[in-house]
Amino acid sequence: MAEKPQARGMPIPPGRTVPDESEGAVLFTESVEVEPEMDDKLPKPNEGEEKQFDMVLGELKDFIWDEGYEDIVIKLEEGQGQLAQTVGEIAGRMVNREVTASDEGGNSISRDILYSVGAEVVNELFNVAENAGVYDKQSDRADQEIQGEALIYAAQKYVDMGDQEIDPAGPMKMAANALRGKYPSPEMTPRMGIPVEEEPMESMEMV
Amino acid sequence: MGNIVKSIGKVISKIGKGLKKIIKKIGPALLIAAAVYAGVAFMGAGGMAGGVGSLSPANFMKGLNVIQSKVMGFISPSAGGAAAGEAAVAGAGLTGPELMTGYTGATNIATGAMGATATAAGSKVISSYVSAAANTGMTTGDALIYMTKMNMLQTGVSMVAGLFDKTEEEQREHEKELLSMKYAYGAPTTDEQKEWLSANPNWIAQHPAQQQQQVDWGTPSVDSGERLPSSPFVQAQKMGEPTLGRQGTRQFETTTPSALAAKGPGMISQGTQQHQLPKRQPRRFA
Repeated sequence: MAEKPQARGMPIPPGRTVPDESEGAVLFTESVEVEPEMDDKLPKPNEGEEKQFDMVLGELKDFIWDEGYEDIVIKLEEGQGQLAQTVGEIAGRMVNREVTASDEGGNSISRDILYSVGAEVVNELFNVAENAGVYDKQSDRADQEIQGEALIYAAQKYVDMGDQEIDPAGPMKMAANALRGKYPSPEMTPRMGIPVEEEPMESMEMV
Repeated sequence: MGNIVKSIGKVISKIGKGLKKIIKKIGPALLIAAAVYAGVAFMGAGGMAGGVGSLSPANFMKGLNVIQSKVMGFISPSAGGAAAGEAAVAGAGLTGPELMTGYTGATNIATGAMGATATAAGSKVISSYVSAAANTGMTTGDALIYMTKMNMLQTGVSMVAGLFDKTEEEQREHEKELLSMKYAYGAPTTDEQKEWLSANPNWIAQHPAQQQQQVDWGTPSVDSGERLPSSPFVQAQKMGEPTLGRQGTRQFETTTPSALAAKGPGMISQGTQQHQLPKRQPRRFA
């Protein structure tokens, strides 16, 4: 009697979440601990906003690393020449759609958390790009810079897609305050993004 | 896009799927920088009520102009917003290495804009701003001041070069025009259509419909006393003529179908007659 061949599952494409519980595995199926956070001195969200983070960001991260992974990689490969812009536009589009859908569902999202949500999505997308070989990790500072550019493109895309709840007065006031150096100190790191031992450029002092 | 940027660093602990991160998350410096960029661009867009405008680099640059003229007062009234070229550079009050750094940056932007697309020029603006906020050790406010100074320099350089700022607007206008043409006439889709369109770029002007529209019926003019060409349907009333009121609609004689009207044999009768005729002429279809 012929032995029935053992059935094999379909090969799992790279980037999909796999239940790998072996020692040293880095891929997880459910939840991932975020890296240790620095004390950024930014204002902390209230309890309602924390729930909104879970709701919005969880959905977006699931999509990025699961069903949307392959499409995202294709888009990143197509826009590899202008990766910051490509990542930013994908992130802005995703956040706008998620926030709009949440609003329409009766769960309004605080616009104060949009930049932080956008920054998380941008970071996830750059990790996707790195995982897919579209982006080579550089120095921390270079990584920060390109993510900063992408975040601006994300904000640009978000606004272009439209959001009636956005009040331009808030960012305008923030810009004016930052320019005058009157941004509340607890809400802004005094010297941001540079090691302590570096001396700021003398020529760039405020007028 | 709220009033403040809030931290979510310690909030998100266990949500969503993902890989262990290789690339670290963006720092608070660039979070603030992005928010400030949006604020400046909103200023450039005018902070329109009901529509917030675009956060394009062009609006960011306009916003810098607003800042330098209204917020910071970098330029003295004598130099003013009309200062151009060297005057703008002098008005910035920059000296030594600061001037050279700013001038080099401005020159790079303007030079890059000369041979580049609007998108590339815009990306240069954003990258310069982010680089200033992240790499040079400046606060966001410092970076903004730096960009404002550089914007003045850039404005001077671009005014001399006579380009840069309008490139993006012109590109958008051109895209709008193409889009309207696409919806108005239908875009060529096949290679044959595209080839024909390239060989006949002025086809619309030679179209019969256009020719008909070019018939000159004369232009009525009060001053010259010109009149419309005579028409049986249009009769001008002269001064002093009695008004007869509105004329009734003219009835044209038309053949009115009537049951009593004399008719030839009907189709049934014709068919019956054909069957009854033994030597019928063959039908000719040609």
